[in-house]
Amino acid sequence: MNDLFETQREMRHRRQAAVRRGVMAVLDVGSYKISCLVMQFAEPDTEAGTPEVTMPQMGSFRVVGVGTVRSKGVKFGEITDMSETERAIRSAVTKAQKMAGLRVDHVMVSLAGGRPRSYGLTGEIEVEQGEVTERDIGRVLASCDVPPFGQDREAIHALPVNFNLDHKSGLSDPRGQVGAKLSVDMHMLTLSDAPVFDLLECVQRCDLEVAGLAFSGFASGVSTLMENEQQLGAAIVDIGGGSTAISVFMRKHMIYGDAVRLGGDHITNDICQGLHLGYDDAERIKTLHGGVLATGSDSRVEIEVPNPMAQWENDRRTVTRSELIGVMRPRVEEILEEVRARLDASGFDGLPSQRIVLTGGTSAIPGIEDLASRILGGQVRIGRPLRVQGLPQVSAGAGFSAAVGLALHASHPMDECWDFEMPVDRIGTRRIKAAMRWFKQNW
Amino acid sequence: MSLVAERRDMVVAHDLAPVKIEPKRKERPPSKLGYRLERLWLTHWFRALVQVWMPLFALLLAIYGGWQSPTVSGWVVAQYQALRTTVAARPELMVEQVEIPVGSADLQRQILGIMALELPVSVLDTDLAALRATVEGLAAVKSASVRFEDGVLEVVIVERVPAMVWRSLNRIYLLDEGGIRVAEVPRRMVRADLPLVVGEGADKAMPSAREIFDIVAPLGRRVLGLVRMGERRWDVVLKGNVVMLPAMGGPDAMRQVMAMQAANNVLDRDVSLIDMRDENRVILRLNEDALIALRGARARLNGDGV
Repeated sequence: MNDLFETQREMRHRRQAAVRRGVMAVLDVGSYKISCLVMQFAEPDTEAGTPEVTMPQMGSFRVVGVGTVRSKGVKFGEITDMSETERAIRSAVTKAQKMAGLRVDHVMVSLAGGRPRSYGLTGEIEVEQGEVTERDIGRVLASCDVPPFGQDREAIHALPVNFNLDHKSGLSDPRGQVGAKLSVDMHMLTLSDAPVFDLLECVQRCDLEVAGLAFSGFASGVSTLMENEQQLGAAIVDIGGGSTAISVFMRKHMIYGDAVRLGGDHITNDICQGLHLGYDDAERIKTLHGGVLATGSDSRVEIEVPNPMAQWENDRRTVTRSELIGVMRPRVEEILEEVRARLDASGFDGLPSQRIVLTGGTSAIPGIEDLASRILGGQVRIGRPLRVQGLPQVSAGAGFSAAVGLALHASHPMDECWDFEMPVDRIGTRRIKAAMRWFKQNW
Repeated sequence: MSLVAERRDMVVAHDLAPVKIEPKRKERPPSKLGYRLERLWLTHWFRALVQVWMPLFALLLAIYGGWQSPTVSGWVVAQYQALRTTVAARPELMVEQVEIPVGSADLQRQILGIMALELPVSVLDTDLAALRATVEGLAAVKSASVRFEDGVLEVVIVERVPAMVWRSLNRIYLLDEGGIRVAEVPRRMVRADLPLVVGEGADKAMPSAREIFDIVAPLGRRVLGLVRMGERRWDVVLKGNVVMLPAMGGPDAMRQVMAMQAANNVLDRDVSLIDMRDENRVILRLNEDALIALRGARARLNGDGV
């Protein structure tokens, strides 16, 4: 954990530097599209610094550039072809920079793949001097017993969710309070390290510095969930192109994160196979005519599809909409059932509120709301990201909730474990260990 | 038949236009070099360098290089001179006459002489500021303004008004209120209306001289003038007697004398000198006749000679 601890801390410094310099970008690397938003932070004391409409969570930034390109070389939210992805990132960044007229050096990245796993950690210490200080918080966070999550995994989020001081629970910031025993509940999200390092490498190859890393489900939740939903408990299901990110929010913290390796691309593939179409045509009729709830009139709606085998001019081929729905629906059901299973495993049933919010590009399929409420149960709505200043209407749809959430997260980051100082003894042993390793390697 | 009809019925007018398969427009991602160049171009300092500093530098370099070559610089100078001559020769810019609205005829003649303009002359070839400085250099001119309008060069001056006549080292000057020489006159009686001050340093003590003259004004024509003694105090010379004033508080001492005059007519008696320099006592010096008379009287009183 310590290695990543340092990396994350370094990223945090970079993020602060970027906010001070006033320009920063966020990059959402998805399987279907890569979108890059360039944000400009206002000077804290100028008039421009106070936005006209103050909304919860909205920082004093403005989106000045947007670049969205078709993603290449990304499958299931993980990079499969480094050079393709690097090129796609480059063109997204170029577009956004061109629109902004600014050069971007720092970028926050989100990804949906990497098989996230959630862990709940607890740590407990005796408070040193009666009053809880920042040092105590660093100690209690360090005292959490980290489960053996495997050598090839890295923690990308470690959020202190809840502090308990003696018998008081539900504290979000115990500093300054008096007590003897301080304990913390921490939520840690780990990802396989290979996709993370691949992504970092790709971004670095584009001459950009990574100023932060976030799980896209978390970012979507930040931008899409209403404040009361975040407070009372809600699940966000970000159905993307290659994977579906799930996260559960409670008391304004992410308490669970997971992903299903299924998404809109699979639906398109099904259409390709089921209706014998090319990928692009399948994508086209999916977005134009797709649906999951068949009605009586659907069997009469005929959809013209291209017929490359046409012998003469009017040799047309059509499919009915009910056929299309018949192909799409099982896959959507499969995705939602998978989500249901993950949510059941997370203990989502126990939360006071059972609100489920669908977002992501695939959530634009008509009728998915009803299907989802039938499968997931309870209250389902389609979530669109919070409106932020300067974001074009085209980029304000459900497909951009991760990018917008990342921007919000950049301007108002949540406290993570690495924001607090580690106790000195830990750092000491780590230094000695590093020195020992160096000796072993070199002598 | 009915089947066909039904089939036709079923086709809803929905996206029936034949799908045009457009040739795929390949959107080329930027090459690594292009990407880096673009990022460089978006860098502030680089942009400023290319868009501002480099053209500026090139321009300056070109100007400098051109100036170094004699043909180019000669041509530029010749062009400039030709243009200047053309403009200067415009009738709107010619000075046809010089007008001096105020000032005595003598002073006007003096000003015209000192300006030394050969009319008509272009206003571009005359340095109005220098002209003004020249005119202000005249003793009799306090301030001057020179302006050119419609072929007329107007010199508006404020004259120094002579306030006193000053005789010093065999020369007689007129002084203004500030003690600045306005003119030299051959004889004092040229300006008999002005009071006379005499002595070295008198011009530097004009305010006190003025004050004393105001105090002795009731004496009228009996006042001959003031004499500056040792550049520090005044003697008031009256017809028949002299009042010596102290260096400090001269006007007050003079007021005292005037009070004595009002009470005892001290100035009308046989007193040749009133010494006010010692503030504790006034010393009077009798004139010759009075002294003889006094001595005779004393002798007669005492019954013997002095």
